[in-house]
Amino acid sequence: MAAENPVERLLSLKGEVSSLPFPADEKELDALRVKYLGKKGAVSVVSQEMRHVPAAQKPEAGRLLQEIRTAVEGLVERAETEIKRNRVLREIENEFFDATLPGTAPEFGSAHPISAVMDEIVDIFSGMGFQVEEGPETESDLYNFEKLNFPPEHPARDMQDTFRLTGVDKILRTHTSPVQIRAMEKYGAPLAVIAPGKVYRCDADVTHSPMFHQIEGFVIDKDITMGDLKGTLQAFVRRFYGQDAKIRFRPSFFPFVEPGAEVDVSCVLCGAKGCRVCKNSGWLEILGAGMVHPNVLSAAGVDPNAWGGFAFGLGIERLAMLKYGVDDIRLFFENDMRFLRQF
Amino acid sequence: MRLSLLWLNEWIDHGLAPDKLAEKLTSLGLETKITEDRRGAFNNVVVGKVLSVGPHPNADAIRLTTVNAGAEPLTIVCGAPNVAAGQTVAVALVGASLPNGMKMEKRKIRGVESSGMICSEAELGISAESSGIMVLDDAFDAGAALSSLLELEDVMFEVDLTPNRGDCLGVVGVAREVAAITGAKPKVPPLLFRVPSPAPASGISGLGVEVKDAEACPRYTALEISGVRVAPSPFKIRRRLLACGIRPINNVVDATNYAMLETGNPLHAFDRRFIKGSIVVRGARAGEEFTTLDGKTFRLEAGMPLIADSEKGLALAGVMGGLNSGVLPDTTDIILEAAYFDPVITRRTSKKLGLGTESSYRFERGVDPEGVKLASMIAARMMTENAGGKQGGFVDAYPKKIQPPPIKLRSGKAGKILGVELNPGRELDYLTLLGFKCDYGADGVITATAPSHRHDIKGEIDLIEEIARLHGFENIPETLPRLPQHDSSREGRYAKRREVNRLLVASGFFEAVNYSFINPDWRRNLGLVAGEPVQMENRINAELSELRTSLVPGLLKTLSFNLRQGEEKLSLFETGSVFRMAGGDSAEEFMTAGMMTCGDEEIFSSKLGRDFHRLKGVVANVVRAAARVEPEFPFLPGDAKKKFLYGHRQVGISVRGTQIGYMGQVHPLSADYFDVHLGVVCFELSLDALLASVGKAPKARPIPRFPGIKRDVALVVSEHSEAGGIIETMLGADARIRQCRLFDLYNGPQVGAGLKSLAFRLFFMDAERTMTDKDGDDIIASILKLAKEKHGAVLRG
Ligand SMILES: [Zn+2]
Repeated sequence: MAAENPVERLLSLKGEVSSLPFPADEKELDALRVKYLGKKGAVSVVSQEMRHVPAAQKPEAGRLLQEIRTAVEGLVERAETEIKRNRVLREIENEFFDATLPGTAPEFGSAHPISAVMDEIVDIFSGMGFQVEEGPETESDLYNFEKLNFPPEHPARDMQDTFRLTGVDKILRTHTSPVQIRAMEKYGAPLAVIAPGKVYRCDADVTHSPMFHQIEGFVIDKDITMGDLKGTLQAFVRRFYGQDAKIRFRPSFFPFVEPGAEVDVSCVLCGAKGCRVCKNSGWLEILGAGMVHPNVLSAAGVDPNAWGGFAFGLGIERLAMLKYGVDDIRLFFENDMRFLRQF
Repeated sequence: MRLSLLWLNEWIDHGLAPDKLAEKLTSLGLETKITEDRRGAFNNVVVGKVLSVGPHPNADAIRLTTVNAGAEPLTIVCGAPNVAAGQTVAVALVGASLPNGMKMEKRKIRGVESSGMICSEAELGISAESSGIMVLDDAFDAGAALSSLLELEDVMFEVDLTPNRGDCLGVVGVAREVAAITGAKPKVPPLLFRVPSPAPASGISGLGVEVKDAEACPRYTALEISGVRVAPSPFKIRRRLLACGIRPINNVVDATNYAMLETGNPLHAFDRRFIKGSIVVRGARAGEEFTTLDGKTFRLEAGMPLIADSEKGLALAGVMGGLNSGVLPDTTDIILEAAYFDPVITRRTSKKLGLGTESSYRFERGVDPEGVKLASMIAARMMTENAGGKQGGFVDAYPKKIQPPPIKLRSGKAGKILGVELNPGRELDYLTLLGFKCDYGADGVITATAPSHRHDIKGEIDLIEEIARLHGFENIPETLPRLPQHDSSREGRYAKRREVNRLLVASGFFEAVNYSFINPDWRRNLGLVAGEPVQMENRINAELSELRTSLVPGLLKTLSFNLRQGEEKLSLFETGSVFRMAGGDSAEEFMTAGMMTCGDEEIFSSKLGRDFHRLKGVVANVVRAAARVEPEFPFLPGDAKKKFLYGHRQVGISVRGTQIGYMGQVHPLSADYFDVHLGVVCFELSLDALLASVGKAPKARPIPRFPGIKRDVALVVSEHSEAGGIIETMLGADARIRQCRLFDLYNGPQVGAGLKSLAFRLFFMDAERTMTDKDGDDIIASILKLAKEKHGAVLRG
């Protein structure tokens, strides 16, 4: 072997490796690796022969050997990448995967529909700048009635069947309106408050529950008008029911507001054309409202000559029944999972 | 209140179609709906004269009649037992349709053709009377349309009156409102022209009237009517009473009810025979017994106003007359009472006795003190016309004049509150239309005095409301106020509750809303002792008689309900108030969050308590997220332990050393009571306490400059060793141990009987330098040494 001219041998090997075919798969690649780079491979063999190369030819032989090595190693590396890439693509292309298996993260529960509606309404008014206040559910007659301009022995008290408590000078509040007094006493004027919460009346049928939820809203400031009340409620129904929702004010009576009004919204179910739910009137009664009565301001320590305001109250269950098409209020408090899971 | 259109039309020419009328009244605050429209419902219903009555060839119970209904005699089959020749009757001819929907056609009844039907009152929709045909006045001509004779083609309204509008509890009151909105003048009904006015305060011979309690009875009038013959009222009166929901009695009592429905002022008729001596309006003596005309006996409280004679009570003032002095079939002489009784006092009596009547309902809301005489005159005229009575003397005791005060309306005030432009002329017009007497002062102030029937007008704002009603709420333009600003320190609990709710929902729990009242047995069976419950005096349901002191009973009940519906795995929570007595006569309430979960484990089947630990993890997450603080779960001392939880499966929930709640697994015997036979775990924590413990917003710390190292170590310990103590020991072994997380628990055969293996992943970090493997080995060595000393732990091989 040593007899051959090493440089020629290198030149011939260089020629050979420069025209090597690109290995198609791992088997061909392995063969290539063994043939050239293995212990007895061609490149190893010529490397070992380098020591027999005459000194004069050494630089050129060294350069040739390096070129051969680079060429073979480069080919092997490119082939490795390419073969791996092809293999991954093929595997991904051909795999079976069941994407229809159900997800395994813990399922969410859900908020009660009453909470959901209440939070939605609170958010609308919060966005307008109302602050959220809560009051106690066990209230005194003073706050639930007297300071709200319900004189003792007034028939207006019959509008709200009251739960009385034994051994305490308290009742279960019949409305969220006492929060008006409590908030004014706490913060004074001016004030803009939204007060959600539970209320209680001794009454039970398909549309009445002994416990239900209300939201009270009120604004106390200088120069507040009934027009402001109308504008605020119109803005609310537009946000809650959509751009086309309209409101209608009818005179009514609540002792703590005057002038007092019942407020109807154009029926959202039939587009005000008339349907079973709106009893063909095109209107749904959704809340009571009015201008805060001067007696209420005085009772809360706010000077009625300097300040005025409006107030409104709405029943959450009624809005939730309309929104979700629930026709029996008792469903809200039975907590049947088959009901709760729907929300 | 029911309102008849024909009756109203007698008082005012409004020219409005019924639906328009309802709309106008509603826009004034008298919510009005049409309940029945009988216009055109009596076409082809005419007066007939029964010519003959004979047997039906094919049936015993029904008969053949010939009836003159204005033209050819008709053959009509009739089943009524009271039909007789010579009667004047109502005949529905072929082609008629009746209010009950019946359409008359020629048809055969048991083989004989019938050309119509002789009607009962029920068939005509007048009353429920269906046992026989209706017999009419013989003065009616055959063939005449019945509807015009009997005013059958009426429209009925339901007027939903608010409690402040007692003045509209009569036809006259509604007519006044219609006049105000239409500008039409109320008519004085023709019949009034023929009322002989009683001589003013002429007195009644042999009968004194004395008002001893002028507070309760500011005005009392008595009118003498003699020689009445008690009999049924004429048809028209009966129809109007029935249409308004009042049962006709006789021509005397009906007259009082009719006048009440018309004017809003209740009246009462006494049989004069039973009045001994004078009429005295006085307070009852304590314990005085009184029997009302419906036969119920009451023991009165001292001072309850009573109409009495010299010997006994005759009537509960403004509420109901007595059994001892009412009108009987043989009554001839009447004393007719018309009065003004104080609203508050009447209501107090009515409430205390639990006796509400048409009369007390009206007096409570305030009748017209100046309308008393009109009411009396109307009833008296009916008794003279329909019962043959003769009007006698009259007494008018008016010891306490009811005088509406003049009220000032400041210039521009109404416009400022309503947000509209209003000139004083408009304001004056509106008030005058409503019957106010007005003066317009040089300073622009209007001084207005309300008419005597408007007890609800007390101040300036009431005048403004009247102006707004007539101006029309729809004419107030919408504007948006600039709201006053507030800072976020005013908000708290509601937002925190929502946050907790959201965290629980995201953890897989469904929100329940239970009643705040529970059955005391639920609490007792759970052995809940924290706080004395607040009892309810009245309730919707005999069993739900106290306010909850905990959310647990309600949630267990809900759990049980759903398990019965076939649910298997359930996770529920609720946030809401709980209540307890707070010493003396006060009560406290707290906002709490509670949760229940059940499902994975059968009771006793597992010693691991997976549900317990899963819930513990959720609670830790919620507290961490909502309060920005790591909760602790301390063991509770014996006396603080909950009886309804497993003795060893319960812990407190604490934040910075303060207990804010507890959690644990429900005792199987407690769950049994609720018919729950699965493992149930629960927690309850105070949202108020949670809110108070919310940490400040975190301050960012620099990210460590040197990497840490991770090591796993598994220790074999006695199966009764508690992991909490071992973790504490490990963390205390070296300051560089930053985390110690249990990732496996094994107590199978590989570790030997009575032993278990706990595997931990540890994280070490040094703030000053990169740690070496040697550092890690050293720390592990000191951990193992301490764990062996304190817990007898050995490294698992
Ligand atoms: Zn509709």
